[in-house]
Amino acid sequence: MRVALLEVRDVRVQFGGIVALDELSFDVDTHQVCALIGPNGAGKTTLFNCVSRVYTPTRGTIRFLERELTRMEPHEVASAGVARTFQNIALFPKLSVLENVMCGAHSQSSVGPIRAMLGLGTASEERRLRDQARSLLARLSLETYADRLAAGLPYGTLKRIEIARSLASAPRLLLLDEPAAGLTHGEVDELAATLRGLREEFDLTIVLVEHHMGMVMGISDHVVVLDLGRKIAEGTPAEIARNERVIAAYLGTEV
Amino acid sequence: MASRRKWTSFAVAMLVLAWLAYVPQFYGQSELVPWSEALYFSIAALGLNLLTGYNGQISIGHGAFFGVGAYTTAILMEHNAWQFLPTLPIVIAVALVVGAAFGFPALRLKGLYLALITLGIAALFPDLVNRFASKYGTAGTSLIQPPRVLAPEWASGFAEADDQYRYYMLLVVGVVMLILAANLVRGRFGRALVAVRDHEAAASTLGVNIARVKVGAFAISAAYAAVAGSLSVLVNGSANAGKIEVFRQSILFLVAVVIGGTATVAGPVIGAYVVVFGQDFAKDIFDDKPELAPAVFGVLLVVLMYVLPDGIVGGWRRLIARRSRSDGLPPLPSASPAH
Repeated sequence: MRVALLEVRDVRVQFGGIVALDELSFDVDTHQVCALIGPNGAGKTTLFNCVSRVYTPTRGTIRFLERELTRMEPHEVASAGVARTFQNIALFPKLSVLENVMCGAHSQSSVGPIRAMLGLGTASEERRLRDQARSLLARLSLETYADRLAAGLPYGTLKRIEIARSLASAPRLLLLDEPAAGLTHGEVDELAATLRGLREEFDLTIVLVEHHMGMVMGISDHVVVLDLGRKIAEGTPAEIARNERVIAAYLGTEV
Repeated sequence: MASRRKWTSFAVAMLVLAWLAYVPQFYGQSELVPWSEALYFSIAALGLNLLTGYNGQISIGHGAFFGVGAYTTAILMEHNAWQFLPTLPIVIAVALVVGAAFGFPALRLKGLYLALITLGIAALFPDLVNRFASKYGTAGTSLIQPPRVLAPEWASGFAEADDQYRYYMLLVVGVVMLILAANLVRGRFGRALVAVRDHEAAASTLGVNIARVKVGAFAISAAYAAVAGSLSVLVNGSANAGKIEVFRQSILFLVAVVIGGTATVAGPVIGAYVVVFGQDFAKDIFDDKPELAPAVFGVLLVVLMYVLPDGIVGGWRRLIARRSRSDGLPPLPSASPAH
């Protein structure tokens, strides 16, 4: 039997009387790029927040590599192999770009406060993290920014830095929340090519929330469509493009 | 370039250290008191900076942790006849536990609310001391005066007088605490402190255990304050917890951190010296009207914060950045259009 990398089953998220996600089930296979689309408020980011344990689903299970994510603490998800980016950039503005990426490897490093104070093991670990961060920055053509603060740089650059930071935790699964938002046409094409390359290089599985249809249709293997917290369709990009319920949800007409 | 700057700051640090080591030879006994005060003040400010500067948790209650250290040392010396130095590990252990105990409730509080609660710690502490420590104090009060630490024979070469010897003890402990703090903020844990301060959700998805980092920061900073308190017994010859004094100290520690420059290694130390000598300076301006001193000191603080909003070290860094930009370094990468 085929086992999915990420298995979302009957997930329901309720905030008081508002149902943000309802009976949501879908699978993401290893090495797939899966796009999560839908109008604003459909529950896409809510699902990301469930996977990265910002929220706990009211009901349902989320299994990753056959481990139950909903029982993990938020900080355990990174070492389990899941990384994410945020819709609104969530870099640390007072750290340099390089330090931001080094921070991404927190789950891959171990020197705690006591050893740090005594200076035991810090130097070699820092060297390793710095080298790794530099090569990730180089991979995303960001090496010129390494020593700049991660604030006040162009939007597209910040988005790429966030991707570099998420890769530093050596993830199996990468969750990207609207990576193309605010990018120019040229940048979107570049990003799509970059993501395709990163998937091969780091053997990644990618789930992305995206409104940019060109990007979605261009790089996804699988598309899941949400509307008002429910899954209304799923399939290959070509199938989704001619699905009438999807068209209705986007254009607001009755089926 | 970066390594040249590193060597420059190392050289400056060595010069400052040499001067601080020379201070007891240069100044007489009474003039040495503020220099000793500035040393233990620096240690408390260093610790508070780890919590408030790097980790973003504001505390106006560290005067209480300072008191915990002072009383632990004073009681052990006075009633258990301990030497001074062996009390330090006990002080650190006690403060780590007490600090962590306050760090847990602090997990649920942020910003002004946390400041308010920690202010409560400072308000509560003198009452607690009066309730429990008065059986150790002189004449039923909470004032404890343990035997003074005297200069041993072997130190006569550099410290003939007892206060000189005590100053050197403070200096050594201070340098050790500074190195420990500098090491702490340099690596993974230091980045985690800042990450938690600036974006908790992002830090958590990167694998940072928010609760552990925050409680850890609280405990470590409490230990710094307690070591400072312990050393204050060395200087003042007593442990005391006046209501106003605990408040005043709590606030002055925070002032030292902010004036020197939050989230910098040298900032709180510089700030501590400014606070201690600024108050002396304020007293000297109007000798005949000592009641004006706090007002003069207040004006000094206002002016400093107006001129250097990100502290002395922050202002210095901006100056360096401006100079190196006009030095003909490559221009900053130009912004590409975002849309």
